[in-house]
Amino acid sequence: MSEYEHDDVLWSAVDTYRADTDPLIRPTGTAAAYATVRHRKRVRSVGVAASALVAVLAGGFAITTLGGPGPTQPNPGGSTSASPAASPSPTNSPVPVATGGSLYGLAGAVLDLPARKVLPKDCPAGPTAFRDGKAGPDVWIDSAVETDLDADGTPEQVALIYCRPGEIPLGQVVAFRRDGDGFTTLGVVVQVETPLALPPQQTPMTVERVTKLAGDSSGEIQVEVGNLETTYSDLSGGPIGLYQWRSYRWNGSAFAQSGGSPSFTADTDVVPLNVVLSSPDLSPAPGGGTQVEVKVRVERVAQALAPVTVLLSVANAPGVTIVGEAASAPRVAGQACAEGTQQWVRCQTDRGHDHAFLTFHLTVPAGMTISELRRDLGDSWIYVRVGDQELIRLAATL
Amino acid sequence: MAPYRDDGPDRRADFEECYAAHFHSLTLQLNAYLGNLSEAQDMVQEAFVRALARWDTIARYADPPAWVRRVAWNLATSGWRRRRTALNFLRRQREEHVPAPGPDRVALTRALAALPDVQRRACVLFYLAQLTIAEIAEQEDVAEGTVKSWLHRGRTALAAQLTEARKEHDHV
Repeated sequence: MSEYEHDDVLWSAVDTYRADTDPLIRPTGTAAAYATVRHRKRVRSVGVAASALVAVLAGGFAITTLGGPGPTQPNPGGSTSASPAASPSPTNSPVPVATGGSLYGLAGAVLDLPARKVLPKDCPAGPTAFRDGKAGPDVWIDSAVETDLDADGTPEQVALIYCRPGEIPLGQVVAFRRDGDGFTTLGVVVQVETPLALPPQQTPMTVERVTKLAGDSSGEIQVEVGNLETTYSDLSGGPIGLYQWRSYRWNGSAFAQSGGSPSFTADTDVVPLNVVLSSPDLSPAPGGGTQVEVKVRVERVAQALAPVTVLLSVANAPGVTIVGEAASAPRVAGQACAEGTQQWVRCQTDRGHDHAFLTFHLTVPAGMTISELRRDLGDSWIYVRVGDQELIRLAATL
Repeated sequence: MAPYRDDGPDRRADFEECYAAHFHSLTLQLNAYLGNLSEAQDMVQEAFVRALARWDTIARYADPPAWVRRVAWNLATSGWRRRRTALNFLRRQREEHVPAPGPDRVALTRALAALPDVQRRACVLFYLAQLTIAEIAEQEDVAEGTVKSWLHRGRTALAAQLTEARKEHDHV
């Protein structure tokens, strides 16, 4: 059968279908539509008033801006439009992030929580009753946003939910949809994928922290995620881990990443940098003790598309301090690296020249021998990062 | 259909005109896709309710019916019909029942039901909504070649099933 014959058969069937079905259609009518809108506005007003009351009573309502997201516009200019999920409008604006109060109705709801990837036996899964945003002492909703994830004209709710079975709270971002007086679970946006990893566990690709939640009016969710392999020496709680804002969209059946870095590690085939690490040089320190100098040269740094930072991290040795200096040429005084703590220092390179030169000085207190220093410092590491990704990691054995 | 006006007092008339012009057409599309007239009507009504709640904004769009169509289709493909959101309220207002479908009327929907979802959507949008291939590609967020492939496979399978059904009917 040819295409034309196919079409004849089909158009004939369509005509029959249309003629037979059209008389059976009973429009509910515009009066009913107006009544439904009025009804929903009344219900919503009651909900908003209740939320405001809870906010006043709780005293902890922190919403960054007032008002909800406007309607998504599937078709602002043509007869059809691209999916809002695929083509966010240039006028997308951030939606409010609630960090207390009713959290868009979730704070006092029974939520069907997905099983955790990490410590699933220690965190609740399935229907879980929340009260004031908490489900017991170790499970709580940190923050929530409301935006239209599936472009159906009605906003859904997305929450960052923490479970803390041990010292570290494990984040899980979950999307919900209003269903009558309650909520149904749409799915997990992103969650912690491995427990706290210490080098050399080699989990550079996995999400080990979920720290912040945001969203915009196009239905896109933004989440700050972290990989913390580098924190083993960071006893000060400094921001030494890698943190990235990643974006996610609902594709009809699951959430998929739509923006931000796809990985915590940079593709070395794409980033053409060379990193050369000199052997540590030990010498007497001016005020006594020992000074260890570590030199790092980053070649072709000018070709990097994002800021290049170099981080030296050492284990916790009493009295040891680090200072760093960045320069655009060897043997030329550069800029001191201000960012750091006792156990680590991070320097941003100058991308205005072909190569960047960094010098780190560890000062070891008097009375500590080199063997004690090596024993206490253990492995020290040089991390080179491009933008929010790690390019390379080098052991700096002293 | 008259162009949509920006001035407030005419908005109600605009909405009612849009509803009258497109309720049947959208219901025909969704019923062909879902095979359930009652659900199709509920979804189209829900899409119009959502449009009405934002009509001040939507009325300014170049093509408000396309907004309603998109939302109705999103409802149909997002599993909204399996949820009870607002349906109870809608059902309280409409107590009449849709007649059971007859054999002629279900020939197309039965044939469509045998197709994969994407081919079924493409065929409904092409033959019932009468969208162009470019418009379907835009709505489905795929390449035009993909739509052509869906349509080619869909129409071949549909024609075979409809022809077979016609033969069976003729022999009865």
